[in-house]
Amino acid sequence: MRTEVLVIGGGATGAGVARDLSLRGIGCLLLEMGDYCHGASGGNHGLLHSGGRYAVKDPGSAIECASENAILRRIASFCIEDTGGLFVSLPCDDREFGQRFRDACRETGVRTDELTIKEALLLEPGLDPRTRECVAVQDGSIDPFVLVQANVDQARTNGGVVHNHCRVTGMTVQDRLVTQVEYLDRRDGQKHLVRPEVVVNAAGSWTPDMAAMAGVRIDMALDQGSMLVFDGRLCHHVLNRLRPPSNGDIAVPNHTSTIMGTTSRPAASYEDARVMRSDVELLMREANSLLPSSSVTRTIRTYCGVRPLLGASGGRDASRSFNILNDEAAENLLSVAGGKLTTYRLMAEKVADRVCLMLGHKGHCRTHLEELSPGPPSPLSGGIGNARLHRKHGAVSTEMGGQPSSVVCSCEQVLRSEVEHHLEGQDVLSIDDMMRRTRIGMGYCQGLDCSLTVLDMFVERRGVEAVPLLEEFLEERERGQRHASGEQLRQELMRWSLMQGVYGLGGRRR
Amino acid sequence: MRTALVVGLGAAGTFASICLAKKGWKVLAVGKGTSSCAMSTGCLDGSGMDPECLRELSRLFQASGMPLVGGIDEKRTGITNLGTRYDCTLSAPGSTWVQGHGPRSITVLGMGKHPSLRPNLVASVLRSWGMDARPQIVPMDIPGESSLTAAFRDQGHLDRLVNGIREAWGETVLLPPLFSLKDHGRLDELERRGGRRLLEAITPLGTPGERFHQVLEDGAREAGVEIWTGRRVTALRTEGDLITGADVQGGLETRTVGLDAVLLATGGPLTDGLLLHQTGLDDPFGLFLVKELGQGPHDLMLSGYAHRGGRLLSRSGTPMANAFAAGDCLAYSLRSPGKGLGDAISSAWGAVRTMEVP
Repeated sequence: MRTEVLVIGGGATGAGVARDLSLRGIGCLLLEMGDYCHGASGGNHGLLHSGGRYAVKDPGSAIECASENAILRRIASFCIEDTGGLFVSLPCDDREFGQRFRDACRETGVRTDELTIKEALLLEPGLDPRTRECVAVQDGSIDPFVLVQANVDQARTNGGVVHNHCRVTGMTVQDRLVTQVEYLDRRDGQKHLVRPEVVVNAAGSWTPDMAAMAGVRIDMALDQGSMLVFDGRLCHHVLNRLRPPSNGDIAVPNHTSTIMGTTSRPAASYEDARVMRSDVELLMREANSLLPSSSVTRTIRTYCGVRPLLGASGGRDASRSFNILNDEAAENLLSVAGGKLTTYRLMAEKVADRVCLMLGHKGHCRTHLEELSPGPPSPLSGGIGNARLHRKHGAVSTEMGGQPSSVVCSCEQVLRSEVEHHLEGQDVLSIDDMMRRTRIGMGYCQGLDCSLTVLDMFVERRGVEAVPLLEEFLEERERGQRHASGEQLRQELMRWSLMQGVYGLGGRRR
Repeated sequence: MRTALVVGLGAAGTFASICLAKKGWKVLAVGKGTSSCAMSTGCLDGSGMDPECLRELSRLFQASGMPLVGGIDEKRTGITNLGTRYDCTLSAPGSTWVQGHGPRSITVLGMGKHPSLRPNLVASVLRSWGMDARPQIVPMDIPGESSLTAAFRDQGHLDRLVNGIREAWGETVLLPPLFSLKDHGRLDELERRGGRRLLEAITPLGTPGERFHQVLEDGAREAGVEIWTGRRVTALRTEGDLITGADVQGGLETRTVGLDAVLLATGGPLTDGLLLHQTGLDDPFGLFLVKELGQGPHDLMLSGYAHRGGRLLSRSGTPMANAFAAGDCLAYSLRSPGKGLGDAISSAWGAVRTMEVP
């Protein structure tokens, strides 16, 4: 298939566009500079929005979220946990907001169900017993890594070509058209050229940089958000505060943890992604008021994302909607700005429609009809590891299952066969890539032992140089431990003493 | 006879207990959990150690049947279970060589799929620093989570290993630690039967640390130290600047013991002094001054109890009459990660000398 379209960016939007175009029979190449979800698609809560959060202030986004939520549950049920969501009002929250919220939900088509306090506390015994109001919505917990990988896989099945670890380094513009794009592939360390008819710039926070290569200026506000990972599941539902959207008002149960977030501050650039001590303190405080038991729960790590928001102002007031930009300086370059994980498919559909218009192609969108993974799957027998695989990947899990006894990461119950499966594919180049797909190294010990086992498998199958790969992984994990406290800090000190003291790796050398 | 309470059963606490007992103290040593000594590589940086302290330590190892090799300033090198170089001055026999006299060619031997030594990984890292290394796997079915020391009490496993060593290439064979303290002599036997020089990989969180800990614990029992494991000192009783007693909790029972001196060797960062969701240290007894050094989370390793002339300081900064500390729970302005074991032994030696002065 010819490369008619080049998609830059392997976040949810880019992968969604590649899937959509491929399903319409349009040849496309997707290039991602890091791993999929390396930007905001990975740096978020993993929350499948019902739309409730935006109903009052951003009704357009709420309507989009409500309809996309239903579609994603249909096409990607394997990576969505139907936790449901609750909006709860605590004594310190504005009482009047509750009514505004209900009215707005009704107007935007976001389904709500009233719960009495007694019902709410039965469903969520961990909630602050002083809760005054509770409204149930259709929120869910979603694994963005699995979702995006499934989009990539389906794009490939339908003829699309997708490469991660390929950084776009330059564009040639002639007669107001991008004629040639140059990129660097980490696999061979070489520069390559591609001559597409249309370029889709879905680079998230990097969108302005990409556009600038074609001489196009895009204004985008970058906004940093921090998240705090608590050990274990402190709640069964996604919990939202029933108050105007502000910092630290959402808790999402996610795999073996609970993710508390987020914060919002303007970021100078996409590299300005540092989690501040004050963010951690705020999230801890807010978690304690929503779920009192969090005050006696260990925190595992912090992480963050940089949201690419529409317009130059940004912050909480910026719309979470999206826009497709096209500039006369480069007529065949479409830049996607804004948006959010829950509405990624809709964005991709709109972008693909525009691409079809430009190419004079008559194909129709099928992404809301085709399931992302063949179903229904039959559960694999034996062990927590296999059960977890099935829950996460659906039918595809049969290719990854294995002997329950061969667990490589005991914190997260990752099977050896799962790691082997990913090593056979083309996407995994580093231990970080393996972690995003399997959760190795995401538990208490942050990869103290399993990283070495995985490294051994890399060396055996790929013949790569081991130490730089390990140092890359250690650096990433260490970033999340900068604000470690209590038991986790003690664990981190042990990990650090071992890696640095025994192996001479990672961190600063004294 | 004066009674000393030693809190902490790691390297510093146990070594100090032995030295105190030999100096005529009645010693009660109390500790809970696994010490970092038992999780260490069992190798020491002895530079700057008092020669007399080294003699005492060497005597303990000699008596255990696994003598230490090296000395105060003898630069030695070994290979970690990742394949990186590891430098020290004192180690168990068969795990390091005198710098400049190391092997040039080596076979890295894995025990089936057991994660104790991953031959492909280790050989690849060894080659990256210029060692001629090859991986080899001895076919064996030892579950990953079970210990090799138990598996290699079995003669069948041992015979298969001997064959593996015979088939190996090069002058030296790198192995994971296979023998506990009691069985350590079998390494020589293995070397004889295999006909090749054997080198034990420097391995944290396993047998070498356990052996080191065992030597000290055996030495303490031999010296007449009373050891209470699995118990915790919950409070210290004071009269002015004098500690007079301690509450020791074990299971449901709490006992109060009288004492003439207390030596804290609770490891670092202060056990129980690091509270959930807090990033700083505090003294769990609520009595002593804690000094925080540095800024980042890893600098906590430097932080710990403040002291003057070996005596712990009260919260107001005045020296306590009979409270001392040793090892990682002390504040050090200079400490490299991985060098704590040598510091622990030296500071225990120093603390005992301070305690002798009336």
